[in-house]
Amino acid sequence: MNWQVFLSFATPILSLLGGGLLILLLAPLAKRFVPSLILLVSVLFLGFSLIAAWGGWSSGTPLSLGLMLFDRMAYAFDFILLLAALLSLLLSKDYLPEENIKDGEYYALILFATAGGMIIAHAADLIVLFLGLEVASLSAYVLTGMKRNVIKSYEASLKYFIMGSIASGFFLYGIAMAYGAAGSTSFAALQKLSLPPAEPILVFAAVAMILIGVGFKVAAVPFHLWSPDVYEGAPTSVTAFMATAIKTAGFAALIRIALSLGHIPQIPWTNILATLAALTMTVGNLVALRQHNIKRMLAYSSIAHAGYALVGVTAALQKNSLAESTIAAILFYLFAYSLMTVGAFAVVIAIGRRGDQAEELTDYSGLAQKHPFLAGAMALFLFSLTGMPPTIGFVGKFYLFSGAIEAGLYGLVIVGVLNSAVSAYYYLGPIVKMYFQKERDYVLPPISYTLLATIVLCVFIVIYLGLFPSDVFLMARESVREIVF
Amino acid sequence: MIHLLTFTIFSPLLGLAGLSLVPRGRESAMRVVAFLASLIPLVLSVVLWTRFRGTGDFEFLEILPWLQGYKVDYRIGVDGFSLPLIVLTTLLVPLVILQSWKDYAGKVRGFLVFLLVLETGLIGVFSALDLFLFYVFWEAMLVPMYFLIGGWGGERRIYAAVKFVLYTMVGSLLMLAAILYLYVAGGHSFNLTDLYTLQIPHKAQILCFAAFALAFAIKVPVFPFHTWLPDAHVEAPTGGSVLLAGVLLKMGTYGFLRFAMPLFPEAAATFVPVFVLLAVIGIIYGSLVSMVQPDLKKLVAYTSVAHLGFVVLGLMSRTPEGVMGASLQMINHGISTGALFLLVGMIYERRHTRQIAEFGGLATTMPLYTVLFLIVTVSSIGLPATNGFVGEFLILMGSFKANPITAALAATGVIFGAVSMLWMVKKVFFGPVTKEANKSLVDLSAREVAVMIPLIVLIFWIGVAPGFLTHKMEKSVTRFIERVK
Repeated sequence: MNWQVFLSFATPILSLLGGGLLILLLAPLAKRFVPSLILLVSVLFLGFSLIAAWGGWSSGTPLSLGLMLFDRMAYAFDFILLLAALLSLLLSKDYLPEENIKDGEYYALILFATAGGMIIAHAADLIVLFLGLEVASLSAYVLTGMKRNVIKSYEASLKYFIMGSIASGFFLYGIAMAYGAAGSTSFAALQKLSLPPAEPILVFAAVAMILIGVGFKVAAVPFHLWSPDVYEGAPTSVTAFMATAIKTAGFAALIRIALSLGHIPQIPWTNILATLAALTMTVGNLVALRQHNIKRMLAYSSIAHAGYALVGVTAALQKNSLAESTIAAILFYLFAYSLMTVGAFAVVIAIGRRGDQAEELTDYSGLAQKHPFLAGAMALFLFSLTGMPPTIGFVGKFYLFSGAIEAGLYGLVIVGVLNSAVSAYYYLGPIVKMYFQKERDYVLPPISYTLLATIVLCVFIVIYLGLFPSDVFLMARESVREIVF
Repeated sequence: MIHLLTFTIFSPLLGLAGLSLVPRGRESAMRVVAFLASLIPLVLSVVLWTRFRGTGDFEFLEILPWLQGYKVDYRIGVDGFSLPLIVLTTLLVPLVILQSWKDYAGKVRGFLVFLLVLETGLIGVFSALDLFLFYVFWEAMLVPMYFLIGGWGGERRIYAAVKFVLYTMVGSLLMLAAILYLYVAGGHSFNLTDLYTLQIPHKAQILCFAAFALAFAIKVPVFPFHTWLPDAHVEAPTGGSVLLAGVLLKMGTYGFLRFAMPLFPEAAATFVPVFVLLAVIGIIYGSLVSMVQPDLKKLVAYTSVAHLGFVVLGLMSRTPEGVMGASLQMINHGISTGALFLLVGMIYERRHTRQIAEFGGLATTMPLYTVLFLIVTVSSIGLPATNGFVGEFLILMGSFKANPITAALAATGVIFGAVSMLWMVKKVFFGPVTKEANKSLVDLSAREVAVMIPLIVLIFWIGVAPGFLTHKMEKSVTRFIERVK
């Protein structure tokens, strides 16, 4: 194992891990003297990681070092994860003092979770993938419970931990099955699995259990029941992080697994993934219609969007699909979805204050009169989530559904398209309240510049890439051209 | 002049820039800015009209590559069908701004903003020659209309606005699926001129035509997809209703003309009997129902269903007279019904009611208003020497060639329409002045007369000498029939 090579390629991950450890050491000291130092350090490490990832992406040649691989798709996932983490941190800056979350561990855990996601993206072996999954998940479990004096937060954290551990158990058992079938847990060995497989039962069991584990992480139906409670109970900046970064990490795992085991015709991949996708979209959208808490509504919306992305995964595995464009579409969609969701959560944070979180939909009444920019931004994000042009949400759906049509999944596209129509109803709800209803008796808390800057950035990218998405999409396609698996 | 069409499409956005500069509270200044800004696209479209040669090909073409990965271009151009519609749009918007000069105090800026954005969307829809671009403009136009109805409308405006959006979205999203299919099956192009030459298998044509036709049938509206129309029209503010009836409904018939029928000629031929039947039902049903409406706006709304039934009948006849009549009637209906809604708005401004029972004998107190209303009424009915006659006559002639029985049935619709409108006129204008409030009404001001003059002039000009209009449409009609037969 060539350590120098590994170190240079793995810099993005290592810098985050190092940064996290440093913060854990510094936190007690810094808290007393310079509270915002920790945030600054975290942002610096994230920035450094981003630069290293960019260097890795540009250097081009894909590389596999036994346990970890370094191809452009992995770095592309790194970009999305780092961006999501960065935006979540910016959201946290003034949210944490308000929620009385004083611990420096918060920042370390965000860095660790992101690092875990990146490990998933760069994994060349199922065990390493599992490692990344656990690092990310354990950090997420703790982050969920960080609102110390609120019982909902504890409940959410415990729920997430217990159910997440069961899912990880399934995943691990699936790895064991895969080892039994292939003699090794590396993706390379899995890809070289003989056809027909020597032990079909083991392969089926492996795929089934691994999918259950990954399905939980991505909150696909029917493994989604933890999601609304956890998203509602967690501190909102953590919810934003989980909905974007952890979900992206889950998809990274899914894509790698699907690509390495997708060649086995005995496994009905299309049926499994198409059913998952259709169920996820439909259940997510239908249940969201009944929600009156905006965090829960956004949680179900996240579930539905995972469903749309699953359509992309289904399409990528079809024989006649343009796999490159389709996987690029999934990457683009995860990127777009992260931006829109972080933006929406940013507005949710902006409206709340300690003691009155203002998370009910009725709390948004008349926001347009009180704060036209916030209302406009929220309306934009909600329109983008619906998939209205000219926003990035529309372009993302366009790329995804084009790929699906290319692959011949007409029925699934119709389901997806009808689901988008249904989703319009609950996305319009807050807009109606903001613009067409009387103001409620509530004074908006002052909004910090960091929060405003984050929202402005998200608004800008949502519109700009909605109009001119070519460059980013071509970059995504470039990332997928030479994947190791 | 280069890029004339692009300037026409986006020049209303200059008004947006201007409006943002006006300080809050200076509402007359806002109205002046918006009015002047709306004159720019009008002038530009008239220039386009004078330079238009009517060759049957698309003129004023502009092609710019947009999404490289999918060969989507920014491709615009006009022909004999779209240019008159564009001129109609640019004419109606300044009139709407003039008519609403005294309304919506306190929330003028938003109204003007959405009006101008709507104008851009509308002109864009009529100019788009790339399916993706068309879809973007089509969907994007929903947002300003939604806000106009929801923010400045009547009592049940939110219900009407949400119904409008959801109903239209379902249709358009299915159309998106069909567009994507067309892209994949058609050699990966969204270019309309290329797609016209494509040969698509019959079964696929049927499905695609059905999807496109559904979206357009909802917009037109074709019976039985018309249920959103009365609510939207009644609850929308006057300016919204004018544009809704005057232009938005034409987007549906334009869609049939430009996309559904020429792209899928065999499927269109199969569906012709269905649409002819629905059109005739719409004509008779619309006229009959309008007879019993107590609300003035709802009455006009149902006559719109009837009138557009004529247009669909003309299109489906696929004869030169029928199609020419249909195209002409699109413009005529825009003028007459636009004028009707403007007039209704004027009386609403004075009496704040639209119930016919509240009026009576207005001819005594408002003679000028009566004269103008009568002129527009007879234009709507189709009296010779007015524009409505030319259109209806051509349509009936063309549809008689195709199927005499349906033409005869449709002709009875003319009678019902006349009954409904004239009965309303009798109840509102003639007879003694029964209600106290009507005795002190002020007749039309100079501004209101100025609003009506261009429309009245056009009513007679097209009625007596329609050649200037039909001359430019002729070759496009021929081209259309070639494609569809």
